[in-house]
Amino acid sequence: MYKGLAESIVVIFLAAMGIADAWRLSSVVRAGGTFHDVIGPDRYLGAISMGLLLCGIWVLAKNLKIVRSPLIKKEEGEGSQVNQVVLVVFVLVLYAFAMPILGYLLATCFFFPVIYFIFGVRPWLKSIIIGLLTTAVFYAIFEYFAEMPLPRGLLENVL
Amino acid sequence: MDKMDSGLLSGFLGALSFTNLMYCFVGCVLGTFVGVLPGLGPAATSAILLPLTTYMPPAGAIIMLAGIYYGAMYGGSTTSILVNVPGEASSVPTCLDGFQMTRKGRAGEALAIAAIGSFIAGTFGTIALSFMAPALARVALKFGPPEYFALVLFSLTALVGFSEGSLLKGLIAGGVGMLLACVGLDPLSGKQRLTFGSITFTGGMDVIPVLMGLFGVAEVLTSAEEGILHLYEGTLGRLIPRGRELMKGIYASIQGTISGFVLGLLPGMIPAVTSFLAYDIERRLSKNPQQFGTGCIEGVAAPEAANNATSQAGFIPLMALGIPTSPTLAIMLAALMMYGLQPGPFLFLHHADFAWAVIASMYIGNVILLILNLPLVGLWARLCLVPYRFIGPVILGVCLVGAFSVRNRLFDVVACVGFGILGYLMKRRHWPTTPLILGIILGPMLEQSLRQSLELSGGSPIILLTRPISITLIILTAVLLVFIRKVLYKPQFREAT
Repeated sequence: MYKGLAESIVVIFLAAMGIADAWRLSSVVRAGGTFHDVIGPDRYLGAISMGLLLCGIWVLAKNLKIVRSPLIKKEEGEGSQVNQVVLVVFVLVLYAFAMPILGYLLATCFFFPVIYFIFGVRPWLKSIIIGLLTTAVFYAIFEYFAEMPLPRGLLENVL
Repeated sequence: MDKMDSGLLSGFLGALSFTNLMYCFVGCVLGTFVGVLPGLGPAATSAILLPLTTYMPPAGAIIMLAGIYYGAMYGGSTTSILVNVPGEASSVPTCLDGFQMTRKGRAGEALAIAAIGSFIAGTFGTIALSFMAPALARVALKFGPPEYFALVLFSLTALVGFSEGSLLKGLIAGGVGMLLACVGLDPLSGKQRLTFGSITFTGGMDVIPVLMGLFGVAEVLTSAEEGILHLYEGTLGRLIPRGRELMKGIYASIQGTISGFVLGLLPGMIPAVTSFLAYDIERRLSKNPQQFGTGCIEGVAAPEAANNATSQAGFIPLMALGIPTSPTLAIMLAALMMYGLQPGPFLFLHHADFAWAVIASMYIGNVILLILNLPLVGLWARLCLVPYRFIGPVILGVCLVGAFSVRNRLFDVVACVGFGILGYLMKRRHWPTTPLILGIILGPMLEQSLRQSLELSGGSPIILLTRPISITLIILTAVLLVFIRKVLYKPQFREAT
């Protein structure tokens, strides 16, 4: 595995997207020859993207030199930390997509107990009680105090 | 001068209203809380609370956010002194002598001089802000698009150069931020950029979900495993240092204030950097430099004063020019823009009551913080015992609902989670996140001022080199680039700092 390969690919990909869009814009706005804005929406975007492309290639080239250096050893316990982060991210994504369907209140009732448990609140019952209490406090603050228009979802007709 | 007097007087009237006083108090309490708490900084807290401030009056919101920023500088020293764990990056040098003083049974004196030093710096910074910001704003009234372009260019260069990690990584992160800022409709021509035909992207990338993801969610993901196991349980000892010790502390506070304030006016000079520099300056100026690191009072006073002076100094370019010098101030800039208050020279002309109320609140905030941090220091110290497993989920919950609340769009929640993951990965791979966010915030300012400049000159870039202020700033940018490349990125310098 090349060190820094993933980063350079992402940067080059982003730069390529920028260049492609700058090219498209250029052909749209400058086609008739009546567009007088020297920079326009295309050249600024193109310049940044070109800069990024060069930097991305530089990172790639720089790291290719040290390709044969030994890989950094994983620190003790690092695996479990990464697993926890992956779980948290999974629950966050699930929560983000569930919120408009279930509504804020229902989705949060599930979210907090699960996330407390992942963060290490034990036993399950404790994480459920603290999770539901947190949900109630959040709901009171955001819905009644801050008067935010939170999604109601399944409870549209109840709340 | 008369204008300033009357402005400050009306500012005090505004700041002393019950509502603003409450927001100031809440900001100071929250600031001290996040300062004490390792793993949660003022930038993350301001980002997390930013959407909630949409439901507050503008002056109250900014007074609260400012209170969080300078309040965190006060609180950061508590755990540095008592448990040798800095609450804030800016309090790292405080550990060196602060914890040694604690081990010698002088924790009370260390905490007191940290609070006194912070108060001296905070008050000096606020007085300087009262004088300098309106004066600088008057100068900035002469700024046109070329001057603004040069100023933003200088600030971006400094902010990228002084950020952690390599210069190349900083440049890339800043470039990605500027690229992301292009998503949506071009403000001058109305053409769609980087939307790829999607209606979702037409609205552009709102800065709040990005901030909440990068500073809030990412912070939780990286801090999940951190926590403090042992709190100092010995006695605090005498609370106020006496005689020569007090004088030494006050003298070091004044020196720390001056160095922190002067450096804090420059973009990129965040409190975490200036507190280190102030500690180093104090050691070099001391008659007994060998005592530093063994528990000397100057080693606590100087960095604590410096970080407060820097945080206060940063408000001058923010309010007078609209240029943030640190991530937290960038968030405050976003908050001001959210309210339709464009920071810069016109802030003191069109929203003078607001600007002066914020400045006046800082005088009050510093008094509140002195009271909060001297008699109640024991209470704050106990707060760092709250396990992260209880705080982390709450922060996540606030971030997600906050991201949703801005535009009531699922896209913003997904963006918040996405940027949280990105921020976490960037931290793990030692990529700086600050240039990314500054690219998003300053990128459009850079583009707009450049395009307007060229519009003025009929397309000739010479306009940038013929105006005295813009050419000076462009030369300064070039000098800064050389300095960054030749000095800051030398391995010896990086190891030493």
